[in-house]
Amino acid sequence: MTGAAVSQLDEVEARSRELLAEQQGAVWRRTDRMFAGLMLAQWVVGIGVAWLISPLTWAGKTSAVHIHVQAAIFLGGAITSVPVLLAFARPGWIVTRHVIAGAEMLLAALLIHLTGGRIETHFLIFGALAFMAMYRDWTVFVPATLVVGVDHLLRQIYWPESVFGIVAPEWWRWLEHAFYVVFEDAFLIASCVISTREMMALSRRQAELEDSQFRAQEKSAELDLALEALKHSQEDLVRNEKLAAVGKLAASVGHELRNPLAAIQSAHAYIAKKVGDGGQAASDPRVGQFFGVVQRELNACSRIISDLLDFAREKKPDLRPCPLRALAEEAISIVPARAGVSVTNEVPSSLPVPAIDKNQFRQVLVNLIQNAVEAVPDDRAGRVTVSATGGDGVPWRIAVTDNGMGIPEENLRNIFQPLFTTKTKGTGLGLAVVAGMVERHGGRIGVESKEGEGTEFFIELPTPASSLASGLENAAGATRTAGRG
Amino acid sequence: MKTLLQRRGLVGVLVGLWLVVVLAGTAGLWKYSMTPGDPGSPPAQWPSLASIPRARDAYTLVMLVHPHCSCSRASLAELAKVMTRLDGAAQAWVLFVKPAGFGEDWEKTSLWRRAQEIPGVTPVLDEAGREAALFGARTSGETLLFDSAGKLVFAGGITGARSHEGDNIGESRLIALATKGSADADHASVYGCGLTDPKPTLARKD
Repeated sequence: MTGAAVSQLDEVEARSRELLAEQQGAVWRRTDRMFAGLMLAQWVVGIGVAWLISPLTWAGKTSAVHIHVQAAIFLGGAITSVPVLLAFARPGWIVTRHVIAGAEMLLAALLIHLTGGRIETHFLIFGALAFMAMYRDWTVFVPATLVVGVDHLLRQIYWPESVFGIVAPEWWRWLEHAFYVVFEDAFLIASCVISTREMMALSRRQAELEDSQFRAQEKSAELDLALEALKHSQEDLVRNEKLAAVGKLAASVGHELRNPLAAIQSAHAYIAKKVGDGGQAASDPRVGQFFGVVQRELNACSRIISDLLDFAREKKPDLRPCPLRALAEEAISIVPARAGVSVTNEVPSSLPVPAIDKNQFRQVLVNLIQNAVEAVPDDRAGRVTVSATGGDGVPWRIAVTDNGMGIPEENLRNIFQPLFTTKTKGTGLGLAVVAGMVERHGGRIGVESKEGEGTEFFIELPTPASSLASGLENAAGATRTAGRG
Repeated sequence: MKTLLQRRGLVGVLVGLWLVVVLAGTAGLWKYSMTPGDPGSPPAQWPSLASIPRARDAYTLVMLVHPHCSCSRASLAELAKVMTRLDGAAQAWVLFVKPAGFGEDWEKTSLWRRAQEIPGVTPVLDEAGREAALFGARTSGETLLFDSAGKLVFAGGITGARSHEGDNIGESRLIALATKGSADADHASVYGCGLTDPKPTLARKD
C-alpha cells in the first residue's frame, strides 16, 4: 500500500471518529432532554399518586397532609432538580447522563415507596433501565446499578423487611435482587455496544462517501483546468489560423494587385515617354487606349480593395423596407452584360416588401448574378434567372439560377470559405462576403448544383409573422442563426 | 446558571450537595415508615362486652382500622393474604373506628369496600371507638387473633412498615400461630394512623 493510500485511510478513519462523536453527541443531548422531560413528568405523577393514595394522615378526628405527599413534592423535587438542571445546562456531558441514571433509579425507588412497595411498581426499575439504553452508552448502567445495589444493601442492613419480608435475611439476599438488574444490564449493555458499532459503521460509510465526493470534486476541478487549457489552446489555434488567413490574404491581394499595377505601370511609362517626346502624345492613338487600361485596372484594384474591406468589416445591416423586384432589376443592370447570356428578373411585382439593408443586398445579388453569368460556358446560350417567394408569414426565399457548368461536389463544401476560388482571377472573397451579409440579416445561404447542368444559389430569410417587424428585430441585435447549403 | 454549570468544580459541589439532600430526605422517609404506632393494651381474653361475636370453632381475627388511614390500605392487602393462607381457619372482623362528630357514611371509604371484598371478612362500624377501647387498640391496622376459647394468640400489625405491602414478620407470626400453633413471638409492631388519640405517641419497637 502506498504512503498516499495509507494517509487517505487515516483521514477517513479520523473523519469516521469525528462523525461518530457528532452523532453520539446528538444522541446524548437528545436523550438528556428526553429524560429531563420524563423525570419532570415522573415527579408530577408521583405527587398525583401520593395525593391519590395517601392524601392525609389521621389521628382520630384530626388530619394533616400525609408525609408521602410532602415527600413526593420535596424529596421528588430534590431528586429531579439537579439532573434536569444539568440536562438543560450541560446536555451531552458524561456527568449529566450519569447523574440522570442515578437519579432515575432514586425516583423509581421513591415511586415504589409512595405506592406502598407494590411489587408491580418495581417494574419501573427495569423500564427505566430499558429507557437508558437510548443513550447507546453502556456506562450509564454503572451508576444506575450502583444505586439499586447500594439501596438494597442499606435496606438489608437497616430495613430488611421492606425488601425481603423477613427480619434477618441471608447476607447475600441484596446481591440476589441486584443480580436481576445486572442480568437486564447485560442485555442492554450488549445492545449499546452493538448500536455503537453500527453507528461507527455508518460514520465510516459517510466518511468514505465524503472522501469520494471530495476526490470527485478534485477531479472535476482538474478537468475544468484541462478544459480551460484546451479552450486557450483552441483560441490560440484560431488566432494562428486567422494569422495564417491574413498571410494568405495578403499574398492573394498582393498577387491580384500586382497585375493591374503592372499594367498601370506600363501604360504610365508609355504615356510619360510620349509626353516627354514633346507633343507626340496628343497625336498618338495608343495614349487613349492606355488611359483606358489605367482606368480599367484601377477599377479592378478598387474592387479588390472593396471585397477585402467588406470581408474585414462586418457592417451591421440597416434594415428598411425594400421592394425585391426593383432591387433585382438594379443589380442586373450593374452586372456587365455578356453576349449569349440572358438575365431575367422573375421576382413578382406583387411580392410583399421585406426589411433588408438595400446596399448590402444589392451587392449580394450583384455577386451572385455576376458569378452566374460567368459560370455559363462560351458554347452555350446562357440563362440566368432571379426569383423570389415568401412574405405574409412565409420565410423569404430568393434564388439566382443559371444553366452553367455547375460546381464539382468537392468544391461545394468550401464554396463559402474565404479565399477559396476556382477562378484564375479573383480574391476568393466574393461568396464569403455574400454569406456574411446574409448571416447578418439572420438568414442562411445555400447552393444546389449539378455538374454540367447548372447551379442555384438561394437565400432564406426567416420572417415568420411580419417581414418588416422581424427584420427590425434582427437589426436590433436579436440572436441570429445561419447555415450554409 | 448555565455559565456556572460549565465549571466542573461547581458541578461536583452541586452533585455532592444534591446527594446529601436526597440521602437525608430518603433517610427521613425511611424513619417515618419504620416508626411504629402505639401498640395499645390488648386484652389477654376476648372482651365479654364486645358487640361482635367470637367464633367457637375457629380463630377470630379482629382488625381495628381508621376509615381514612391510607396506611391501612396495606394492612387490608396483607389481611387478604392472611385469609387466603388461613383458608377458613379464622373468622375476621374489621372494625372501622368512627370518632364522634362525623356524619353518616363517613366510614364508608374505599377501605370499607376493600374489606367487604375479602372472603371471610366482615366490616363493622365502631361508633366513637367503643370496640377499639375494649380491644385496647390505639393504632389503625392493629390485628388481634383469638383462639376458639377466646384467648389472645397474637397482637400487633401485619405490615412491615407504614403503607408498605409485602411479606413481614407480623404476618408470618400470625400465620404460624394459627396454622402451627407456635411462632418465635406473639406480637409485632403496628404501623398506621392513630385511632382515637389525637396526639401521636411513640411506642417501643418490637
